[in-house]
Amino acid sequence: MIWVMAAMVLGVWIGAYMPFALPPNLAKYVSVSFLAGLDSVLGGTRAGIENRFNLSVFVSGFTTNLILAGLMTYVGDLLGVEMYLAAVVTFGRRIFENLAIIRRDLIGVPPKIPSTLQG
Amino acid sequence: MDKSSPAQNWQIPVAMASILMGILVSLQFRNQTTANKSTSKQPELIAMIKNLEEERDKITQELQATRARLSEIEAKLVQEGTGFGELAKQMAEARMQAGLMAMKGPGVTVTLADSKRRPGPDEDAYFFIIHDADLQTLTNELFAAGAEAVSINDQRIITRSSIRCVGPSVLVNTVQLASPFVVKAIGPAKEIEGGLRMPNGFFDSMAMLIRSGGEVKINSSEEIVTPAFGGSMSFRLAQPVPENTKTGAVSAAHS
Repeated sequence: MIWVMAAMVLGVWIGAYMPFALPPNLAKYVSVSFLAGLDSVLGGTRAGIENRFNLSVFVSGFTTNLILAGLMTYVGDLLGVEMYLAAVVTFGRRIFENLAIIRRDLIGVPPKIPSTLQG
Repeated sequence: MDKSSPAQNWQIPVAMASILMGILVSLQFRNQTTANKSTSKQPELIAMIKNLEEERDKITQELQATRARLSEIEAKLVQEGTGFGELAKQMAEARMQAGLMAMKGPGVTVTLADSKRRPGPDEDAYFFIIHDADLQTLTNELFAAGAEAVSINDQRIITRSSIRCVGPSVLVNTVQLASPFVVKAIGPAKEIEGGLRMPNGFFDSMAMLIRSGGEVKINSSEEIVTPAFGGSMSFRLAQPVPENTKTGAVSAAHS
């Protein structure tokens, strides 16, 4: 848990000294992939705490989430429909749910929410 | 949070993904701050322009005051009747020719105004406003018809004047002017009006504007006052050509 947070801080620090900048027209993709990635990270953390972490599930979930989110944004751009909002809403909801479960796991109160969400 | 071996297994891959997300976030954040910076510079630039404009106006006033004092001194010299009197008279003549003196006399006032109506969907907005080219045509026509001194909104037109378009306004002598334009000309009123109303002349060229609701008015008057040119008149690069070579060039041009 501490390592995961430290890694996030390290990533921010690395990004701050990165020699190149992202093109501004990719902002939509960055936000969506960040949400997808954050959802995977929280899901993985939760699975780890609950002692049922599986590396293949985590890696496949991380990559497919990112690819699907990016694809959705791209198709939305092509069609002129803001489809990336679907990804934003979905991942946003999952992030909050995962966070709630992690919190309850840490406190030791069993989660109310049925654990259908897998990282 | 340190657990037994299965727990440590999950921390490494999740931490790696976490690093990636951190990089993404801070890159995006940096993008956002630089994007904000470029727009936040605008008020600074606007303030800078205002400051410079104020400075320019102050210097212009100083210049005019200095020129006024100079003419006072010259007038005094003429009155005193010393040897400098003749010289001062010549100076005054030269200044008059250069447009550095306010002049008065009979002439016409031409008032041009943009249309107050908004262009409809099938109308061209071009014909609803006064353009720099309209003012150029007008001043050309005025001088051609015998005007001796012309000013646009109190900007005197001299040999080095320019009239050009800058966005929604017109620059005359590097001063921004906007509609309505009051063009004053000292000269033979009848000839000038005739020249402007000539078939295919200035008035005809403004027909579309007048039809769109714009205004073009000519008033002749017994006393028109055109102000003095207020800008800089110094030569930085141009140098006078000695007399004998100059006459040679003129005769060559004539032959």
